[in-house]
Amino acid sequence: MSITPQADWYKDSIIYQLHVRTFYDSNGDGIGDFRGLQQRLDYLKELGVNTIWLLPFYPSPLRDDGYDIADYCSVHNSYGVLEDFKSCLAAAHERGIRVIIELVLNHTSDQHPWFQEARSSRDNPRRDWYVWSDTDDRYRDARIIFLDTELSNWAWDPISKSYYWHRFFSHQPDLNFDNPGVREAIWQVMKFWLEAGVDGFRLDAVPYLVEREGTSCENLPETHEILRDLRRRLDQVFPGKMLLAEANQWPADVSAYFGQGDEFHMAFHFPLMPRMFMALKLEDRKPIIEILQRTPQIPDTCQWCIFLRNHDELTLEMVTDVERDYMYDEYARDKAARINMGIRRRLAPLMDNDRRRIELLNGLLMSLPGTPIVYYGDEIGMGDNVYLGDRNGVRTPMQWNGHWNGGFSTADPEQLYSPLISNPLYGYQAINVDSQLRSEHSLLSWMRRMIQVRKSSPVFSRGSIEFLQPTNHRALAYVREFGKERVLVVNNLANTAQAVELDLRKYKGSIPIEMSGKTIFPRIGDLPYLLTMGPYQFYWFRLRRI
Amino acid sequence: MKDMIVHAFQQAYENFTRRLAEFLPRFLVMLIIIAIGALVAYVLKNVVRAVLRIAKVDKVSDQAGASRLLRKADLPAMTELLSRAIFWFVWLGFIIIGVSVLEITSLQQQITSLIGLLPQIFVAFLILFVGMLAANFFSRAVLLAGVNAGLPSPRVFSETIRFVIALFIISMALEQIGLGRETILIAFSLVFGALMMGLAIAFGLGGRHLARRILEKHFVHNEKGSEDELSPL
Amino acid sequence: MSEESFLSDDFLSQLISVGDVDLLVGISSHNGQGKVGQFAPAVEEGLLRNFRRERIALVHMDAGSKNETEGPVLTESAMGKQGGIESLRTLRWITTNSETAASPDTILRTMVTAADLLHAKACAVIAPSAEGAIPARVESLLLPIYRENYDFVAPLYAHQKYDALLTRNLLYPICRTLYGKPLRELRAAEFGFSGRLAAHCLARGEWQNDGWRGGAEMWMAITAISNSFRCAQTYLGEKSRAASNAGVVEAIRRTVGGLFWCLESTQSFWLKGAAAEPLHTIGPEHQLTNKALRVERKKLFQMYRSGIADLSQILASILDAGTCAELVRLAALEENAFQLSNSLWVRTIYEFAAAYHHSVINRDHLVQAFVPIYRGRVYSVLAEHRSADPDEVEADQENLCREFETQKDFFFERWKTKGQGAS
Repeated sequence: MSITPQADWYKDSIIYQLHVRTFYDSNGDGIGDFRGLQQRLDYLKELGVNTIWLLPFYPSPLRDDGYDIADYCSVHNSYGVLEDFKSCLAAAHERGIRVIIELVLNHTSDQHPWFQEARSSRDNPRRDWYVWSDTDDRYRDARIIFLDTELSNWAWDPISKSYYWHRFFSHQPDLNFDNPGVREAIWQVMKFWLEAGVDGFRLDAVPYLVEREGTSCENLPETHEILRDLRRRLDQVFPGKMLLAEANQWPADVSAYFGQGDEFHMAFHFPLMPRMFMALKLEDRKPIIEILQRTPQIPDTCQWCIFLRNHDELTLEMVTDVERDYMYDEYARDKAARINMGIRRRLAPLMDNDRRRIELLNGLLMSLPGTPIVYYGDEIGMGDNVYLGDRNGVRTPMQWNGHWNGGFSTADPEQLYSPLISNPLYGYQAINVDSQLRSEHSLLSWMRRMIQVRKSSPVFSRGSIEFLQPTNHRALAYVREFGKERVLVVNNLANTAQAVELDLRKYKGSIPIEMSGKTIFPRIGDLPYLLTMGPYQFYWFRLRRI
Repeated sequence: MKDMIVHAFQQAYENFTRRLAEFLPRFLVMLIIIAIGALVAYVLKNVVRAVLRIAKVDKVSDQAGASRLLRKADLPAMTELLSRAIFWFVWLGFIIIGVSVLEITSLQQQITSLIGLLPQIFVAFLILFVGMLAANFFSRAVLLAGVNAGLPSPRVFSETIRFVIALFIISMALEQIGLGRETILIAFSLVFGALMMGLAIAFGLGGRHLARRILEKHFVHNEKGSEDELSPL
Repeated sequence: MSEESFLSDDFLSQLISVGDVDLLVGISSHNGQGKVGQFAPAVEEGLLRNFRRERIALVHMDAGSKNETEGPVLTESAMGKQGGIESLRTLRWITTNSETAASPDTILRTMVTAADLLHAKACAVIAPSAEGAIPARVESLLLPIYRENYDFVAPLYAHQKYDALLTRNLLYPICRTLYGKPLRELRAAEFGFSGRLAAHCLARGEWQNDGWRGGAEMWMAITAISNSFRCAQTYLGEKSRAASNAGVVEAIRRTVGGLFWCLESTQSFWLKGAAAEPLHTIGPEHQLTNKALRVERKKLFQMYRSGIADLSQILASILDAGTCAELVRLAALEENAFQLSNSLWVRTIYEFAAAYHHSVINRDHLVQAFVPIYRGRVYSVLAEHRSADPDEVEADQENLCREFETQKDFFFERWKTKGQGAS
């Protein structure tokens, strides 16, 4: 098997997000590496994912988990060398798995040679590659993103005796995209990796590229122009590659990043994610329906990316204050779990390790419109450690088995880049790949089956969505349609059994066939279609006309 | 001839004494039967009374509201009423048996037909009883409604209702026992019809303004009338 | 879970789709859905201010509706978004048709049943024509129940000094004397109750009994008081005149009849002699105003006089000879000499209640016979308070309550044995 060229392959992707450091250590130094990842590609193939998204693996002081890049065109020596990466990439392609990598456009590490040069003197040719100011009162309308750690978007550089602009940590100075040199340099970086064979980029922090006085310095027209230019060059030189935008904004603002189909191919639907969690606690479909109804249409060649959890906190930026308070009260009573404006927990602990809820949310992830992203470890229900600082609690080593270091590394446990989760509930002894592979009824086995079912029909990846409005607001029901194919999805968001009556007259005469068990259900007629559902149960019905 | 007359007298005297001799024992037996009957009825009455008291029939009757009706009709309590009814029923039975011993056919027939009439008389009394209660009830209801609505002369309406109902039930009772059936029917129809006609004329013509006000008050909701603004609650 | 067959299939289906709720608010109207539509946004706003996270259902019950319900009370886009506040959850409206909501008693029974089926923690019934700050009223009735675990919250109103005389001269003193609780509005169109109280009321089965015929709200209040439920009263401002627009006769039939029926069904409680206890009051205890009101005083006196004359026989079967005679004597007086004293009024009420208990005549007739006496009392009170200020009126109220207390033993005696008037 290898990669079949296809222009809009990303629409059919099921993306697996991982950091090479966390996945598998091949050389016993306590840190995951590319050779280790390569050894575990078969696992990913069996899982059913067809795309890997790699978090930053570049040389970096690692003060922001690799998002502070010190060299764009190399591999951090902890993870191997460039050849290791290319070998892993080729092995992934052989298994039909595409690879997209992280590209942090907005800023570099303050250890990057560019910044080192820029700060060395005001006359340095690279001085203008960053945003400098003699005062710290410019761009006052820009919000601070890392509220827990930063007091200002300006940091004082003692070397060049001036302030430099940073939207994230102070050790991550922002690049100045008004400088054509910067734009060209970034293109060269992209070209480097594309020539190496990567299938696309996840561009980090794109809304913040450009600053203008009197604005929020987010989503400015100039930013879009820069991104369109990058896309133009990409399409010209490397057709069939994909750009994924990380823009934590309201849908109307994010959809601007699709342009007319001439900017990003995909973008994360950030506002949907917390609302899925909220809907579950409220036992009410309202948050999900409302945000999706507020989501504008996007160009046909584009696609949303949807996800449950990722390497960052469960962000609550795109909710109202009342909703945020509600989420904190329901999901993060322990204040140690709260960081910035979010919750730093994995999926399973957020669901109190309730298998039914985990399945339901994954069912939503796989059936709502968009390309789904599975965060590494969530397929086995890994736990977290909120006491590790920053967001490191959700970046612990992958748990492969119940033995030494959870099968992640042969190194001494103290040598591991991060302690393993070892409590009785989520510890590697209880939650690991090997034990779950032994059972057909484990979460991992279930995930594999669900992914297979999803891949069995293009309706999930490419179909339209029409929401049904049963009077029981605890039921979230919708019909996905693509060509002649129709799938009815019904979800019970409540902790209690529910009766749901659906108006399916439009599909009168069709026979619903439940997709995982292929069971036939009664034909749809004129009367409301009654379904009785157990707590957190969901159905996917293929509607067949026979 | 003298011999014939004496012989006839002797024959008649012998017949008389023979019949008397035949009658007296029967009469005595009848008395004995009646006496026994009285005794049996009395014992039975006491037994029934005791049983009914144990079964708390009076309490059930109270709860059903029947006791109230009996009190209003100046009848004894249910237990007593039933036990007395048993007494009379049993004793009447013995009396009939006793009378049948006399073998006087015409007397038996009269008694039989009287007994046959008893159910009709009972039903007639029942109709009167219930009817009187109904008359009281409805006339009182009309009186109260009239007083509270501020109608003039509510007693007139009340007594009229009582009279009409009384007339009606008396006719029914008489009809029930078959006394002058057709006469009663015709007379009732005439009187009732005349009364209704009179009321219609009086109310509809003579009292048409009052009729209009009453109808408006009940069927036209948005008219406030001259009620004050006080609210009781 | 209670089984109630009087719920229509449509209503039951709506309850199923709503599921469990934390708060249930009932809004009753009489053949006037349009009015409810106007004031529904205010009700929603009142809920969203304090209960944005809670699961809420609103029930619109239209009694005596001549038409089928005309669809949702609010447009879907307006639901759950009032006063600039948006709810986290779907705010559910349930509507009933005329089959289910035939009378005020059925309305309350529907509410109580729905509360039980939906496991509602706190419920409130709102009168649709309530004036003043509706959001605040909604909060006032629900907050004590939902946040402070009260079971029954009665309203407190500001009355015009001549208004609500049946409440102030009968219901309030009786409640205070016999039940030991100074509940000012024993029979109110608006009140709050807990799911616990709803379940208790349903379990008692009085809903099937037609002997009370009216005053379900009063029965619920008395049930709460006499069964150790936590009760409170909360100030809601001025009472809507439209909400209390019942005619005198109908009001007395429902109120007095209902009260007497309640006395009978709770006699085991008050015959023991309930100790007087204070009632938690939120806001001002009681307010009387001097607002102008149109009053037909002469007519009241005339109706008393003619009523006593025409009903003398009936009254003789209800009341003691002495009481009767006194009422007759008063009827013969001139208007300006007439005064139905506290003592006579209280004795009359107690004798009526005892007669009701002993069913001396048909109970509904007995209650109707009370109307002229009430009219006389109203006339008397109007005359007495003509130039009184609210404080003086309130002082007289206290005197009246003391009179009820004083004659309590007499009442207990009459209750247990039949009196002279009873035939």
